[in-house]
Formats: sequence, structure tokens, C-alpha cells
Amino acid sequence: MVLTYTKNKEVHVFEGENRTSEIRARMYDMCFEGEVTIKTSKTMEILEINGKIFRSFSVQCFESLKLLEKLKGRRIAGGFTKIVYGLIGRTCPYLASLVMECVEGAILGATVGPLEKALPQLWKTPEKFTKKALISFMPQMKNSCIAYTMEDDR
Amino acid sequence: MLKFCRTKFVGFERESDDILKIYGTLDDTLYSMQIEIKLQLPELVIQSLTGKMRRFTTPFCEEATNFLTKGAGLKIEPGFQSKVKRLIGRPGCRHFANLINECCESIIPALICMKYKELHEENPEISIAEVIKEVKETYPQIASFCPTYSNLLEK
Repeated sequence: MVLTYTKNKEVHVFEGENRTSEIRARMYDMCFEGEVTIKTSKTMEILEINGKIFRSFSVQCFESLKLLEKLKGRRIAGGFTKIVYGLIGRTCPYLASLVMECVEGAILGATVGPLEKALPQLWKTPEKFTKKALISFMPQMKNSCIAYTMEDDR
Repeated sequence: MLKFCRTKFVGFERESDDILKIYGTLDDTLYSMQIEIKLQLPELVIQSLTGKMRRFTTPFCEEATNFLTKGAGLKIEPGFQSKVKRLIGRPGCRHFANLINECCESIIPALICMKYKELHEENPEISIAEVIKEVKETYPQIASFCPTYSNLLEK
């Protein structure tokens, strides 16, 4: 069976100087190709943001690129998704999706380090690998998914 | 230095006139998983949702696969992404939810591509605006959740 539609999306998070991060998200499908690059500070403030669209049949998507500048200076924190979709989502959902991929990348990039330290210790003694122990290593993840939710909190 | 990378792949296959099969794969520094969605056309209702985790961080993660059944019966419409996060992401795995939403947010371009191929065979001169118009007639509900395509037609 031949695929009728395909999409590829990738995000890369690079560690910079002074705990800054550079996040690059790129996506291409049969109608669109574009990328967004974000530079964040150690407090997740957006220091730089740029976008490129290589292919799109929507003129509005090209016009939306200038709106990215409005996200500069904002912090990736609660409510950011609404800001992104409110600003860009209605005119170019593809571009909004690329910004959100960068955001997801920034958050996951920040959790890799603590997880790399905590997980080998926890897996060493599987009988002690409890949700309580996991939450004590990663308190910011509490109630975010099944692994970080105690039975009583469900 | 590279500290994290993630790749997602989405593929749509026309299983029959009224069933669309959607594959999603997510692979990153921490997780690796895949899902398969069967979508009822033209209603855009999820008939079945299955998945598998290949790589994960904790012994509790795999249990999240059980929450995928909650996706059956969901309709792709405004608010769909929040429902997926609430039913599958928060209580189960937010990366599964992310992948489901990645697949389902492609429904409009996928329908346009399918319609384009179909109409282009009959009329090689057909414009993308005409194709979108046809898609909107078959799936009127898409106009309510994707203003971009509606605006494109109005231009």
C-alpha cells in the first residue's frame, strides 16, 4: 500500500555557553517545509527566535514569520502554549506547531541531565525503584504522567 | 554539544473508502514509541488506537499503553488535542498524547493530498484552491477548526 501522506518533524537541542540552549525544529510534509530556531537563557527566556519557510501554499504562513519576533523576551512557562496559538495558530498552524516543538524540546532537554543522573541509581536497585523515589529525584514532574503520579493522587 | 534530539514520523494510508490508517513513530534521546490509528471517514472519528513503547525511562511507563483505548470514539474537532492530553497524556503518557496529536493535526493536509491526487488524475489543471473547496464540501467540519484553509479559499 502506498502512503497517501507523510510528515517528518525533528528537533535538536544544543547546549550553549552560560547554560543557554539553542533549539532547532524542522518539519516537512507534502504541503509545507519550514524550520524555527530558538535560543533560550538558563531561565527559559527566549533570547532569539527565527523562522524560515521553504514551501507552503498559504501566503499567510509566510506573513506569519514576522510575528515570531513578538515571542522574544517571553519565558517558556505556564500559559505559553495559549500565547503561541493565539498569536500564530490561526494564521499558520504549521509555524505554531514548530514553535511548540521547540518548546517541548527545551523542556525535555532540561530534563535529560537530571534523568541521566537519577535513573541509573534507581535501576540499580529495582525493588527500591518506587514512584515516591522517582518524584523525590524529579519533584517538578509530579502528577505530569503515570510514572510521577502516586496511586492516591489519581 | 547536542543534548537532546527527537524525530517524529507520520504516515497516512487509505485502508478503504471509509477507513484511514495513520501511523505515528516517535524516537528521541529518552523515549521510543509507535501508534496506529484507524479513523472513520467522513466523520473523522477514531475507530481504534493501539500503540507500543520500545524505550522508556521508568518501569511504570509501559502501563500507559492501557490508556490508549480511551482514544476510541474521539472525534477530530475543536478541543480534540486537549481531550487527548486529559484522557491519555496526564493519566498515562504525555509523549503518547503528543504523538497522537501530531498524527491527528495532519488530518487536513492529508485529506487535501488525497483529494488532490484523485482530482488531478481527472483534471491536471486543477488548482489547490479548488481541491480545498472540494475537501471542505466533503468534510465541512474542518472549516471550524482550521481557519487557515478557510481563509485561503476566501483570498
